[in-house]
Amino acid sequence: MIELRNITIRAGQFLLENVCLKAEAGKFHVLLGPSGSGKTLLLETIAGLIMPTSGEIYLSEKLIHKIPSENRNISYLPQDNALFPNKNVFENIAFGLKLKKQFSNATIEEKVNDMASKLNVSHLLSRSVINLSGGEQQRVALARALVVNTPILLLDEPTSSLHESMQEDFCLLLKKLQKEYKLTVLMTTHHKDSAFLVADSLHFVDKGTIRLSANIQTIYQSLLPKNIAHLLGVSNFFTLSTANQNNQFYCEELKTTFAFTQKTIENTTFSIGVKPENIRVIKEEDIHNKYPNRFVAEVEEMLFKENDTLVLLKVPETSFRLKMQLTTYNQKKLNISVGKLLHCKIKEEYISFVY
Amino acid sequence: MSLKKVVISSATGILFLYAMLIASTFYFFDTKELHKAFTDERVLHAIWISVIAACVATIMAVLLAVPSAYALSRYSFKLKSTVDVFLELPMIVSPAALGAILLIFFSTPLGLLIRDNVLDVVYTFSGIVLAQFITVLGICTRLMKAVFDEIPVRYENIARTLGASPRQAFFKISLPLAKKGLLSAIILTWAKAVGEFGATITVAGSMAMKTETLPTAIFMKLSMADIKGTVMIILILFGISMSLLIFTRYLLRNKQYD
Repeated sequence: MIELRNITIRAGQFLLENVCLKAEAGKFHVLLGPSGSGKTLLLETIAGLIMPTSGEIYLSEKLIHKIPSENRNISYLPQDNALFPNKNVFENIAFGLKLKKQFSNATIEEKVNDMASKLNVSHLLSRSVINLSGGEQQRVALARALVVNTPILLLDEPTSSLHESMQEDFCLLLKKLQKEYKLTVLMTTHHKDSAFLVADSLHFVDKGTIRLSANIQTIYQSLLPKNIAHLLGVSNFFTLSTANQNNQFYCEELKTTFAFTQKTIENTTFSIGVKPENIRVIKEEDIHNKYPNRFVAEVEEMLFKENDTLVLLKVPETSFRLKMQLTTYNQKKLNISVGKLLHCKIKEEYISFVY
Repeated sequence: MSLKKVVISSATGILFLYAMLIASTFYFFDTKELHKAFTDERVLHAIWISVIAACVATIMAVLLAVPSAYALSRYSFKLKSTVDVFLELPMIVSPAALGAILLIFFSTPLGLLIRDNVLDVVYTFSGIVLAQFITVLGICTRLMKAVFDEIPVRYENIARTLGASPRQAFFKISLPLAKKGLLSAIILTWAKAVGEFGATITVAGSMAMKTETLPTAIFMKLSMADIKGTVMIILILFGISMSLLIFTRYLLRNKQYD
């Protein structure tokens, strides 16, 4: 377990203040946050490259924040990979093993070959690192970090330099390696999809502090700060206020009443958020059925993505605008077009509570 | 005239200025005089003295400059900005003044103690080395600091996370990465030391076959109105310096970290 207790780090004008984090051993933890929120600084502090101004870092209940980087037993893969440009691929991967002085040359060669084979870089071993592609550099840097066999791996935005098509594959590779080596991984990213692909738990970093830590399965059920909800793809926000005693709440923006059956809400006024893909259209033949949490909106505009359509809706009475996303197949099937009046519904389980 | 034309004209103007000055020496070129210069025991001794003294001064400067440059590039410490200012001392103070300062120091009780018990530097070969060392130390450190500044600190950081101590990170990563730049700095330092005149003549004088270096030999020949002799020594000195500069360019022609 990695535990940060009230860590404060000052780096020039930037301040990370009273950061607390518990990262369970053997799990994949993702630090999700916008650029400039302090994620890299946090990783560098855990790696021992930056000394915190105050606070404590524990590794398996052992205080480590005064232990030099080389003795922490933590591997770190920086955003730009930082492969040593004067060494070839083999020498880069073997660097940490040679420092240990406990392995013979034959053992080092065997370990490097094994790791290179796992990361599919065996054919590159004699090549200079300067001429490698971004993806190849990343796998070599990962091999260099993994071959020293540390229990903790820190990854700083590992997918940011990869082409979109390669990001998913690299995330799957990371997840596979994490399970195989039973690693505790702490990865930073500002990319929600990458985070959800690999994470066991998410830690939201924003403006120099960790705002929320949550399990990946229950994240949308947590009470979320609005900006974090936005980062998670929640882009429709409404305010609800008590309508009657039956756990029903009125939404002025949508001119409708929301009913909650799975949760008892004590607040009289609160905010909710909904992802565009969780707003559903009620089919014309079902319009007269009684659905909870339904509203009427007019299609104002449609934007076509690869296989999806983003529909911009406007509530006629209030001019409140919201986004709905559905597959282009469904958009055509439901004959949705600009100017059409739609009956929509939001399922209770897809509602996030925000503040 | 476009900006591009103005700046390119300025750059080529520098080339023409220096080329014209060098070419003017060939007006007095004489193969017999060149042969004479290469067989003159006094000139050969001056070449020998210049080369050896510059080598010793460069080695001394490098030994002090490499760690100092690394410290200035990587760490924050008290007096850092003061050290940085003093590196420019040999550039802002005239070499003759530097030589005079050295002579004054060796006239103080501490200086006399050193002269009597350790090394006498006044009018000796050691004086040439010391004058050259003092003159080139600042520029050598400045050049080497620029080399270390160019090497991203993240390489050392990654080496640390892979188990390298700060010392190992320096010797296994930073120093090999700096190799080419440092070699270039060493050669330029050496070239600067070979051409040093003001401090050398002030501290060591210009005694033929004893403390006469190539630059002091040029001065002596010129003072005797021996123009052809002067030109031949200038060309020898120019030949040595240009060979080194071309060699430096050759070393740096490839990729940055080879």
